[in-house]
Amino acid sequence: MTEPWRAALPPASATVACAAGPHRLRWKEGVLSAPAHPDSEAELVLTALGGDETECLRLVRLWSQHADDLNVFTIGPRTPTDRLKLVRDERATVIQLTAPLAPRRLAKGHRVVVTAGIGPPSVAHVVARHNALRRSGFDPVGEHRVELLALLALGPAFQLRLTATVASAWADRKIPPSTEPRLAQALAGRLAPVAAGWLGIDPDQVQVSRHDGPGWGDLERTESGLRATLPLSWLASVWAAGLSVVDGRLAVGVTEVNGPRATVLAVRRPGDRPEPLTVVRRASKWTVTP
Amino acid sequence: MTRNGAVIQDAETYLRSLAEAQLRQAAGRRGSDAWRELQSVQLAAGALSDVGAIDTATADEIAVDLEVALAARGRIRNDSFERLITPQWRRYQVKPAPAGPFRTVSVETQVVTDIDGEPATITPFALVAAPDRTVLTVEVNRITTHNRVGWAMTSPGWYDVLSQVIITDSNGGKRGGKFWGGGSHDHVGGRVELNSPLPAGLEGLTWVELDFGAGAEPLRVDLSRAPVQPMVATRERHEATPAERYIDAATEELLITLVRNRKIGTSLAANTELDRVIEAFTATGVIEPGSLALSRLATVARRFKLRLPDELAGLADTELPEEWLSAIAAMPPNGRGEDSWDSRRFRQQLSGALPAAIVFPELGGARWTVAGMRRAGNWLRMNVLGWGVPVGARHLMHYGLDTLPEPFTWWARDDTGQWYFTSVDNGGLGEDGAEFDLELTPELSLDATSLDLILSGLSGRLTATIPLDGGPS
Repeated sequence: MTEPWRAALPPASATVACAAGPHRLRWKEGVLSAPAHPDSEAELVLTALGGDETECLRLVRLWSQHADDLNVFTIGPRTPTDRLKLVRDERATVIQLTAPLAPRRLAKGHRVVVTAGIGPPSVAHVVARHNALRRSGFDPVGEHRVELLALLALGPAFQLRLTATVASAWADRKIPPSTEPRLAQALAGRLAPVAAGWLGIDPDQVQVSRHDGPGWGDLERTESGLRATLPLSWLASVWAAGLSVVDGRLAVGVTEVNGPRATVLAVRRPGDRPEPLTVVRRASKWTVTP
Repeated sequence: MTRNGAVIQDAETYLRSLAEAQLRQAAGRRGSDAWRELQSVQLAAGALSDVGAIDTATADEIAVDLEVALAARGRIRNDSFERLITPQWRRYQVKPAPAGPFRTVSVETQVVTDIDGEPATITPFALVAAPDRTVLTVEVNRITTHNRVGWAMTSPGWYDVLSQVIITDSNGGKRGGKFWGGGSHDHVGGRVELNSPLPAGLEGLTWVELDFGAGAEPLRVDLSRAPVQPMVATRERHEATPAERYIDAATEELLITLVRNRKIGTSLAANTELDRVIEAFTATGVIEPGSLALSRLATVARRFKLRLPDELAGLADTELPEEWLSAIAAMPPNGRGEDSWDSRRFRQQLSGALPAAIVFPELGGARWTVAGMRRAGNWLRMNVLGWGVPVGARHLMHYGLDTLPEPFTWWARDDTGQWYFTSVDNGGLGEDGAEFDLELTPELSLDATSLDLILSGLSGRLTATIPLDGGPS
């Protein structure tokens, strides 16, 4: 059975400038694919033998490589309307940033630039700096971030789906203590704005920790805010799907998704026992249905 | 964990929460300039890292991730992407101080020459022979007054003359050098780094000769005198925690600003970035809320009528260290005032070189040297060079070096008992070490005939006595 988070997110697609022209990348039920490359395995073999890697397959590869990348939480969207101003610009030359270890494999003339939306881009400077540092043996971390930015530049729908993918990847893992602060930040950064709107509180007064074990967690009103314990799966199945607050109630889990209909567990107030609520998605908005 | 009812967070959790709050704050404001929010996290990350509450890599990662997040949202200018590739403070990997002898020799002579048709003096202060490199501290001053526009800064001659120095040693070796430094239209100062080092500690040499060309006679520096050992070294264990030392050092910096400028009646935040650091230290429990260092800061702030952040408001006044009180008491009622460019230039021209050649023993893994001193009346400035100096994250958030590199503090006390704060000018800090000019506040007492320079690190304290009467150091 498809996991609820995969089913709760509708398919998404983006256009990519690939070697043979504009191609579509498609995400459906948790899988990113490149339909214009039906024989992708054969292409991968050719790439391994020294051929150029197409942009479509490169992005699919990067998606897989970053499927548990915790930087998605720190850089990616905090709300479904949190817009990252990343653009893809085929004229620019940042391809070296995204695949510096195998530049000869890259398709000529098809390049991706990641840049913020204000001011003149200084990509050439970035590339020069990065290459200089790379030559000096510095920094795999920056390269990793630039790869991630290339994925986030696929657009808001993909940003949410990548966040859900990473949350799902970590939801079932045994979490080392050293990772807990990052996961707590991931939850807090996304629950705080939701809770602020839900309860009319200061988002800085929302304390969140990760719930581990059976059950959905806990919500407790504090003097000035909210103390919450939620599982990481909340990010994938509830937050990314846009189900956080429905009909004035905070969804704490999703029990079933069937097409555009979903059953969520929701509370009206902190401290309430969660109750099932059936919702339906119409034009990307969820509403309660009898 | 709680303390006195307040929740104490571990440093990483605190920093991550702060980063989220600052990202929200930036998103909620009009405009795209979110540097204030970013710097707030950088400052807390740097301070917590500097006092060992969080490892530098994690602190660095949190700050850089916020920077990426802000840039990706168009909240800071996208040229910041340049810095995202490698976090700024990870670019430095400090080299340890080299093992082997260090020696510093005063040159004590001035060369009058002609540069680009202008009479000028070249003042080589001291030669520092470290195991890994040899450095000559030097400056050039124009003798006559001149219209400043378009002269030295556009003329390569000033820099060339310093980079063309030839150093010949008594064994017949010849070395060139490269000048590093800067200046104004009538003054250039810095260091000449020799292309290859002289023997460490100048062992086996009896003299070196400095030839600046430009028609000037070469200067011969006699090395046959036994190395002068002006050091009186004492070791006292410093009991303060790193966070207390950080706050005390920051309070001293604040005091220097305050006694110079008498900026009374403003808030502490307006004078320093300490409010964010205090919040970070107290929220993470790295400093006790009633710490003496915080009390000293509160006492200083009250004395200068600064508005205090909440964390300090409840702290009672406490006794201030003798050296602070001495330095404060010596300040004129209206402060000394910030140095204007012209006043600095004027003093620079009037100043004379005094011999000062100090090699401090190893302290906290670093080697420090004083290589020359200038004095004009009650104004005094020393050239300081350091090896193996750790680069705190706090310093790397700002280009250049504008405060003393932690964990070291420098104090001075003259033979009349007057204490002096020290502050940094023309500083630089990087993987090769530190280099800066050390200045005194308040100004030097004209009655003083010698000066104790007191260098403290985490493991102890060293004192060197410098004569101020022009005698050998």
